[in-house]
Amino acid sequence: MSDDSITIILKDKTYPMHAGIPLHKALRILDLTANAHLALRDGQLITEDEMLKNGDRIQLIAVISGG
Amino acid sequence: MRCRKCGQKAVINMRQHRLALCAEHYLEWLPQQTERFIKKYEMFTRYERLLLAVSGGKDSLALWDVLWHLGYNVDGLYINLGISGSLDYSEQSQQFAQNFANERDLKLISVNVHEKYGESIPEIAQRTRRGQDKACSICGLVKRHIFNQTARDGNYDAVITAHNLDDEAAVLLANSLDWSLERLGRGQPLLPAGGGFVRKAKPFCRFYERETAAYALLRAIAYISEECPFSIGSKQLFFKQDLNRWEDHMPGTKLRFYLNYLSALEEGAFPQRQESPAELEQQRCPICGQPTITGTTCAFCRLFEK
Ligand code: SF4
Ligand SMILES: [Zn+2]
Ligand SMILES: [Zn+2]
Repeated sequence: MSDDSITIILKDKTYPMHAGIPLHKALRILDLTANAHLALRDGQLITEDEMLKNGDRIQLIAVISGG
Repeated sequence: MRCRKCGQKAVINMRQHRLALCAEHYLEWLPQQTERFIKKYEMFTRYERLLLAVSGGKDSLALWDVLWHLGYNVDGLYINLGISGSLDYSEQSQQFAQNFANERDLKLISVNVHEKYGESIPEIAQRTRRGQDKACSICGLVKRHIFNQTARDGNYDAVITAHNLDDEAAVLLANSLDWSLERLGRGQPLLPAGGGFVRKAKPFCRFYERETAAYALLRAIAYISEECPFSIGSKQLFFKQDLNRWEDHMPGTKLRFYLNYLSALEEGAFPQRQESPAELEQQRCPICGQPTITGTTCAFCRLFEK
Protein backbone atom coordinates (compact mmCIF):
# COMPACT_ATOMS: atom_id res chain seq x y z
CA MET A 1 0.00 0.00 0.00
CA SER A 2 1.28 3.45 -0.85
CA ASP A 3 1.74 5.87 1.99
CA ASP A 4 -0.39 8.49 0.21
CA SER A 5 -3.33 7.15 2.07
CA ILE A 6 -5.08 10.30 3.23
CA THR A 7 -7.23 12.68 1.26
CA ILE A 8 -7.42 16.33 2.13
CA ILE A 9 -10.24 18.25 0.55
CA LEU A 10 -10.36 22.02 0.22
CA LYS A 11 -13.13 23.62 -1.86
CA ASP A 12 -13.24 21.51 -5.04
CA LYS A 13 -9.63 20.31 -4.84
CA THR A 14 -8.29 17.15 -3.23
CA TYR A 15 -4.73 16.57 -2.08
CA PRO A 16 -3.16 13.20 -1.29
CA MET A 17 -1.13 13.04 1.91
CA HIS A 18 0.79 10.43 3.91
CA ALA A 19 -0.65 8.91 7.02
CA GLY A 20 1.02 9.13 10.40
CA ILE A 21 1.56 12.87 10.62
CA PRO A 22 -0.41 15.40 12.64
CA LEU A 23 -2.80 17.75 10.89
CA HIS A 24 -0.64 20.83 11.45
CA LYS A 25 2.20 19.16 9.62
CA ALA A 26 -0.04 18.24 6.69
CA LEU A 27 -1.18 21.86 6.50
CA ARG A 28 2.43 23.01 6.46
CA ILE A 29 3.27 20.62 3.64
CA LEU A 30 0.38 22.04 1.63
CA ASP A 31 1.50 25.58 2.52
CA LEU A 32 -1.82 26.31 4.19
CA THR A 33 -2.06 28.49 7.29
CA ALA A 34 -3.58 26.64 10.24
CA ASN A 35 -5.18 29.80 11.54
CA ALA A 36 -7.05 30.34 8.30
CA HIS A 37 -8.65 26.88 8.27
CA LEU A 38 -10.80 24.50 10.23
CA ALA A 39 -10.64 20.75 9.65
CA LEU A 40 -13.40 18.17 9.79
CA ARG A 41 -13.05 14.39 9.95
CA ASP A 42 -16.29 12.48 9.52
CA GLY A 43 -18.08 15.77 10.02
CA GLN A 44 -16.36 16.41 13.39
CA LEU A 45 -14.04 19.34 14.02
CA ILE A 46 -10.53 18.21 14.92
CA THR A 47 -7.58 20.04 16.47
CA GLU A 48 -4.22 20.49 14.71
CA ASP A 49 -2.37 17.95 16.83
CA GLU A 50 -4.69 15.19 15.62
CA MET A 51 -2.81 12.30 13.94
CA LEU A 52 -3.97 11.54 10.42
CA LYS A 53 -4.67 7.85 9.97
CA ASN A 54 -4.79 5.61 6.98
CA GLY A 55 -7.97 6.17 5.00
CA ASP A 56 -8.87 9.52 6.61
CA ARG A 57 -10.72 12.07 4.55
CA ILE A 58 -10.13 15.51 5.95
CA GLN A 59 -12.34 18.33 4.84
CA LEU A 60 -10.79 21.77 5.24
CA ILE A 61 -12.83 24.92 5.55
CA ALA A 62 -11.27 28.24 4.68
CA VAL A 63 -12.49 30.66 7.33
CA ILE A 64 -11.09 33.94 6.11
CA SER A 65 -13.38 36.27 4.27
CA GLY A 66 -12.49 39.65 2.89
CA GLY A 67 -14.06 42.84 1.71
CA MET B 1 -5.92 17.22 22.75
CA ARG B 2 -8.43 17.31 25.61
CA CYS B 3 -11.00 19.85 26.73
CA ARG B 4 -9.71 21.86 29.65
CA LYS B 5 -13.10 21.75 31.35
CA CYS B 6 -14.17 18.13 31.05
CA GLY B 7 -11.30 16.14 29.57
CA GLN B 8 -13.31 15.01 26.53
CA LYS B 9 -11.81 15.26 23.08
CA ALA B 10 -11.30 18.90 22.11
CA VAL B 11 -12.66 20.29 18.85
CA ILE B 12 -10.75 23.56 18.95
CA ASN B 13 -7.46 24.72 20.36
CA MET B 14 -6.99 28.44 20.87
CA ARG B 15 -3.27 28.69 21.23
CA GLN B 16 -3.33 32.39 22.06
CA HIS B 17 -5.37 31.57 25.19
CA ARG B 18 -3.76 28.17 25.81
CA LEU B 19 -7.29 26.86 25.81
CA ALA B 20 -8.69 23.75 24.14
CA LEU B 21 -12.40 22.95 24.42
CA CYS B 22 -14.86 20.24 23.44
CA ALA B 23 -17.92 21.16 21.36
CA GLU B 24 -20.22 21.44 24.34
CA HIS B 25 -17.90 23.68 26.31
CA TYR B 26 -16.95 25.75 23.29
CA LEU B 27 -20.61 26.52 22.65
CA GLU B 28 -20.82 27.72 26.24
CA TRP B 29 -17.56 29.62 26.21
CA LEU B 30 -18.07 31.80 23.15
CA PRO B 31 -21.41 33.33 24.25
CA GLN B 32 -20.02 33.86 27.78
CA GLN B 33 -17.04 35.71 26.36
CA THR B 34 -19.31 37.76 24.10
CA GLU B 35 -21.33 38.77 27.14
CA ARG B 36 -18.12 39.69 28.92
CA PHE B 37 -17.02 42.00 26.07
CA ILE B 38 -20.48 43.60 25.86
CA LYS B 39 -20.20 44.48 29.56
CA LYS B 40 -16.53 45.41 29.50
CA TYR B 41 -16.93 47.92 26.70
CA GLU B 42 -20.40 48.98 27.92
CA MET B 43 -21.87 48.29 24.51
CA PHE B 44 -25.61 47.87 25.16
CA THR B 45 -28.14 46.31 27.51
CA ARG B 46 -31.06 43.91 27.25
CA TYR B 47 -33.46 46.84 27.55
CA GLU B 48 -32.31 48.43 24.34
CA ARG B 49 -33.39 47.88 20.75
CA LEU B 50 -30.49 46.77 18.62
CA LEU B 51 -29.96 46.60 14.87
CA LEU B 52 -27.41 44.11 13.55
CA ALA B 53 -25.92 44.30 10.06
CA VAL B 54 -26.48 40.84 8.60
CA SER B 55 -24.67 39.74 5.46
CA GLY B 56 -25.65 36.08 5.41
CA GLY B 57 -22.04 35.15 6.21
CA LYS B 58 -20.77 33.21 9.22
CA ASP B 59 -19.88 36.14 11.46
CA SER B 60 -23.14 38.04 11.34
CA LEU B 61 -25.32 34.94 11.62
CA ALA B 62 -23.19 33.54 14.46
CA LEU B 63 -23.44 36.85 16.29
CA TRP B 64 -27.18 37.02 15.79
CA ASP B 65 -27.47 33.50 17.16
CA VAL B 66 -25.34 34.35 20.20
CA LEU B 67 -27.19 37.59 21.02
CA TRP B 68 -30.52 35.85 20.56
CA HIS B 69 -29.50 33.07 22.96
CA LEU B 70 -28.24 35.66 25.43
CA GLY B 71 -31.67 37.31 25.38
CA TYR B 72 -30.86 40.56 23.61
CA ASN B 73 -33.47 42.37 21.55
CA VAL B 74 -31.89 42.35 18.08
CA ASP B 75 -33.35 42.91 14.64
CA GLY B 76 -31.29 42.26 11.53
CA LEU B 77 -30.65 44.52 8.55
CA TYR B 78 -29.79 42.91 5.24
CA ILE B 79 -28.68 45.14 2.39
CA ASN B 80 -29.04 43.62 -1.06
CA LEU B 81 -26.19 45.18 -3.03
CA GLY B 82 -27.18 43.78 -6.41
CA ILE B 83 -23.93 41.86 -6.80
CA SER B 84 -24.42 38.86 -9.03
CA GLY B 85 -21.30 37.15 -10.34
CA SER B 86 -21.56 33.53 -11.31
CA LEU B 87 -23.22 32.55 -8.04
CA ASP B 88 -25.73 35.34 -7.70
CA TYR B 89 -23.99 36.42 -4.54
CA SER B 90 -26.53 38.95 -3.29
CA GLU B 91 -29.61 36.80 -3.88
CA GLN B 92 -28.00 33.79 -2.27
CA SER B 93 -26.71 35.62 0.78
CA GLN B 94 -30.11 37.24 1.27
CA GLN B 95 -31.68 33.80 1.23
CA PHE B 96 -29.34 32.57 3.98
CA ALA B 97 -30.11 35.63 6.09
CA GLN B 98 -33.85 35.30 5.54
CA ASN B 99 -33.91 31.58 6.31
CA PHE B 100 -31.97 32.15 9.51
CA ALA B 101 -34.47 34.81 10.63
CA ASN B 102 -37.52 32.76 9.65
CA GLU B 103 -36.34 29.65 11.47
CA ARG B 104 -35.97 31.63 14.69
CA ASP B 105 -38.85 33.99 14.19
CA LEU B 106 -36.55 37.02 14.18
CA LYS B 107 -37.15 40.28 12.37
CA LEU B 108 -35.02 40.95 9.31
CA ILE B 109 -35.31 44.30 7.54
CA SER B 110 -34.18 44.05 3.92
CA VAL B 111 -33.14 46.99 1.80
CA ASN B 112 -32.53 46.52 -1.90
CA VAL B 113 -30.09 49.13 -3.21
CA HIS B 114 -31.29 48.80 -6.79
CA GLU B 115 -34.95 49.12 -5.87
CA LYS B 116 -34.34 52.05 -3.57
CA TYR B 117 -31.81 54.07 -5.57
CA GLY B 118 -32.31 52.78 -9.10
CA GLU B 119 -28.83 51.27 -9.41
CA SER B 120 -26.90 48.36 -7.95
CA ILE B 121 -23.48 48.75 -6.31
CA PRO B 122 -21.60 47.59 -9.44
CA GLU B 123 -23.58 50.06 -11.55
CA ILE B 124 -22.86 52.98 -9.22
CA ALA B 125 -19.22 51.96 -9.08
CA GLN B 126 -18.93 51.89 -12.83
CA ARG B 127 -20.49 55.29 -13.30
CA THR B 128 -18.64 57.26 -10.59
CA ARG B 129 -15.04 58.35 -10.32
CA ARG B 130 -14.85 57.19 -6.71
CA GLY B 131 -15.93 53.72 -7.80
CA GLN B 132 -13.54 53.08 -10.66
CA ASP B 133 -12.05 49.66 -9.96
CA LYS B 134 -13.11 50.10 -6.37
CA ALA B 135 -16.62 48.76 -5.90
CA CYS B 136 -15.76 48.22 -2.22
CA SER B 137 -15.29 51.93 -1.62
CA ILE B 138 -18.80 52.64 -2.97
CA CYS B 139 -20.19 49.61 -1.23
CA GLY B 140 -18.85 50.65 2.18
CA LEU B 141 -20.19 54.16 1.79
CA VAL B 142 -23.65 52.96 0.74
CA LYS B 143 -23.84 50.32 3.48
CA ARG B 144 -22.84 52.80 6.20
CA HIS B 145 -25.42 55.29 4.96
CA ILE B 146 -28.30 52.80 4.81
CA PHE B 147 -27.33 51.24 8.14
CA ASN B 148 -27.29 54.57 9.95
CA GLN B 149 -30.45 55.81 8.22
CA THR B 150 -32.39 52.63 9.03
CA ALA B 151 -31.26 52.77 12.64
CA ARG B 152 -32.34 56.39 13.00
CA ASP B 153 -35.66 55.89 11.23
CA GLY B 154 -36.41 52.83 13.33
CA ASN B 155 -35.30 54.50 16.59
CA TYR B 156 -32.76 51.82 17.40
CA ASP B 157 -30.53 52.47 20.39
CA ALA B 158 -27.42 50.95 18.87
CA VAL B 159 -26.18 49.36 15.69
CA ILE B 160 -24.05 46.26 15.77
CA THR B 161 -21.60 44.77 13.32
CA ALA B 162 -20.02 41.33 13.48
CA HIS B 163 -16.43 42.41 12.87
CA ASN B 164 -14.06 39.85 14.34
CA LEU B 165 -10.50 40.35 15.51
CA ASP B 166 -9.07 39.40 12.12
CA ASP B 167 -11.17 42.11 10.48
CA GLU B 168 -10.05 44.66 13.04
CA ALA B 169 -6.40 43.61 12.90
CA ALA B 170 -6.35 43.78 9.09
CA VAL B 171 -7.74 47.32 9.14
CA LEU B 172 -5.31 48.21 11.90
CA LEU B 173 -2.41 46.89 9.86
CA ALA B 174 -3.51 48.82 6.77
CA ASN B 175 -3.94 52.03 8.74
CA SER B 176 -0.61 51.56 10.51
CA LEU B 177 1.22 51.05 7.23
CA ASP B 178 -0.35 54.28 6.02
CA TRP B 179 0.27 56.09 9.33
CA SER B 180 -3.33 57.17 9.07
CA LEU B 181 -3.64 58.70 12.54
CA GLU B 182 -7.13 59.94 11.95
CA ARG B 183 -8.39 56.45 11.15
CA LEU B 184 -6.33 54.93 13.92
CA GLY B 185 -8.28 57.17 16.27
CA ARG B 186 -11.53 55.47 15.34
CA GLY B 187 -10.93 51.79 16.03
CA GLN B 188 -12.79 51.40 19.32
CA PRO B 189 -15.08 48.37 19.86
CA LEU B 190 -17.72 50.89 20.86
CA LEU B 191 -18.28 54.24 19.18
CA PRO B 192 -20.69 56.33 21.23
CA ALA B 193 -23.62 58.09 19.58
CA GLY B 194 -23.02 61.63 18.48
CA GLY B 195 -23.75 64.14 15.78
CA GLY B 196 -26.47 62.12 14.14
CA PHE B 197 -24.60 58.83 14.28
CA VAL B 198 -26.12 56.01 16.25
CA ARG B 199 -23.97 54.18 18.83
CA LYS B 200 -21.98 51.44 17.14
CA ALA B 201 -20.72 48.24 18.75
CA LYS B 202 -18.64 45.22 17.73
CA PRO B 203 -19.23 42.43 20.26
CA PHE B 204 -17.15 39.87 18.30
CA CYS B 205 -14.06 42.08 18.09
CA ARG B 206 -11.94 39.82 20.29
CA PHE B 207 -12.61 36.52 18.56
CA TYR B 208 -10.40 35.14 15.85
CA GLU B 209 -12.14 34.48 12.58
CA ARG B 210 -11.73 30.74 12.89
CA GLU B 211 -13.49 30.90 16.25
CA THR B 212 -16.61 32.54 14.84
CA ALA B 213 -16.51 30.03 11.98
CA ALA B 214 -16.20 27.14 14.44
CA TYR B 215 -19.18 28.44 16.37
CA ALA B 216 -21.30 28.66 13.20
CA LEU B 217 -20.25 25.14 12.25
CA LEU B 218 -20.87 23.58 15.64
CA ARG B 219 -24.26 25.24 15.85
CA ALA B 220 -25.03 24.03 12.31
CA ILE B 221 -25.84 27.54 11.14
CA ALA B 222 -26.28 27.63 7.36
CA TYR B 223 -24.33 30.58 5.97
CA ILE B 224 -23.03 31.68 2.59
CA SER B 225 -19.50 30.41 2.21
CA GLU B 226 -18.92 31.92 -1.22
CA GLU B 227 -17.14 35.23 -1.25
CA CYS B 228 -18.31 38.45 -2.79
CA PRO B 229 -16.60 38.49 -6.22
CA PHE B 230 -15.18 41.95 -5.49
CA SER B 231 -13.27 40.70 -2.46
CA ILE B 232 -10.97 38.53 -4.56
CA GLY B 233 -7.49 39.94 -4.39
CA SER B 234 -8.54 42.59 -1.87
CA LYS B 235 -5.96 44.22 0.38
CA GLN B 236 -7.89 43.05 3.41
CA LEU B 237 -7.57 39.38 2.43
CA PHE B 238 -3.90 39.86 1.78
CA PHE B 239 -3.32 41.37 5.24
CA LYS B 240 -5.39 38.68 6.92
CA GLN B 241 -3.40 35.99 5.19
CA ASP B 242 -0.13 37.50 6.39
CA LEU B 243 -1.37 38.03 9.93
CA ASN B 244 -2.35 34.37 10.05
CA ARG B 245 1.06 33.27 8.86
CA TRP B 246 2.63 35.22 11.71
CA GLU B 247 0.04 33.79 14.06
CA ASP B 248 0.94 30.23 13.02
CA HIS B 249 4.55 30.87 13.98
CA MET B 250 3.94 33.15 16.95
CA PRO B 251 0.62 32.34 18.62
CA GLY B 252 -1.02 35.41 20.10
CA THR B 253 0.45 37.89 17.61
CA LYS B 254 -2.93 39.02 16.31
CA LEU B 255 -4.43 39.27 19.78
CA ARG B 256 -1.52 41.33 21.14
CA PHE B 257 -1.49 43.57 18.07
CA TYR B 258 -5.16 44.39 18.60
CA LEU B 259 -5.31 44.56 22.41
CA ASN B 260 -2.17 46.66 22.73
CA TYR B 261 -3.62 48.99 20.13
CA LEU B 262 -6.80 49.33 22.19
CA SER B 263 -4.69 50.21 25.23
CA ALA B 264 -2.78 52.80 23.24
CA LEU B 265 -6.04 54.19 21.95
CA GLU B 266 -7.39 54.49 25.45
CA GLU B 267 -4.24 56.26 26.58
CA GLY B 268 -4.82 58.86 23.90
CA ALA B 269 -2.06 57.82 21.52
CA PHE B 270 -4.14 58.85 18.50
CA PRO B 271 -5.93 62.12 17.84
CA GLN B 272 -9.65 62.06 18.46
CA ARG B 273 -12.13 64.03 16.41
CA GLN B 274 -12.22 67.63 17.46
CA GLU B 275 -15.82 68.53 16.62
CA SER B 276 -18.14 68.43 19.58
CA PRO B 277 -21.47 66.66 19.04
CA ALA B 278 -23.15 70.08 19.00
CA GLU B 279 -20.88 71.28 16.22
CA LEU B 280 -21.42 68.13 14.22
CA GLU B 281 -25.13 68.51 14.75
CA GLN B 282 -25.04 71.65 12.63
CA GLN B 283 -23.20 69.94 9.79
CA ARG B 284 -26.04 68.06 8.21
CA CYS B 285 -26.34 67.04 4.60
CA PRO B 286 -29.11 69.21 3.11
CA ILE B 287 -30.43 66.25 1.09
CA CYS B 288 -30.52 63.28 3.48
CA GLY B 289 -30.00 64.95 6.85
CA GLN B 290 -27.14 62.68 7.85
CA PRO B 291 -24.04 64.27 9.37
CA THR B 292 -21.11 65.20 7.15
CA ILE B 293 -17.69 66.53 7.96
CA THR B 294 -17.77 69.19 5.30
CA GLY B 295 -21.20 70.60 6.11
CA THR B 296 -22.24 70.33 2.46
CA THR B 297 -23.85 67.48 0.51
CA CYS B 298 -22.61 64.20 1.97
CA ALA B 299 -20.47 61.70 0.07
CA PHE B 300 -23.42 59.35 -0.30
CA CYS B 301 -25.75 61.93 -1.83
CA ARG B 302 -22.96 63.15 -4.11
CA LEU B 303 -23.02 59.71 -5.75
CA PHE B 304 -26.42 60.53 -7.16
CA GLU B 305 -25.86 64.17 -8.09
CA LYS B 306 -26.58 64.95 -11.69
S1 SF4 C 1 -16.19 42.74 -1.00
FE1 SF4 C 1 -16.49 44.91 -1.46
S2 SF4 C 1 -18.21 44.96 -2.86
FE2 SF4 C 1 -18.24 42.95 -1.90
S3 SF4 C 1 -19.60 43.17 -0.15
FE3 SF4 C 1 -17.54 43.56 0.60
S4 SF4 C 1 -17.27 45.78 0.45
FE4 SF4 C 1 -19.05 45.22 -0.82
ZN1 LIG D 1 -15.58 19.90 27.61
ZN1 LIG E 1 -26.69 63.07 2.16
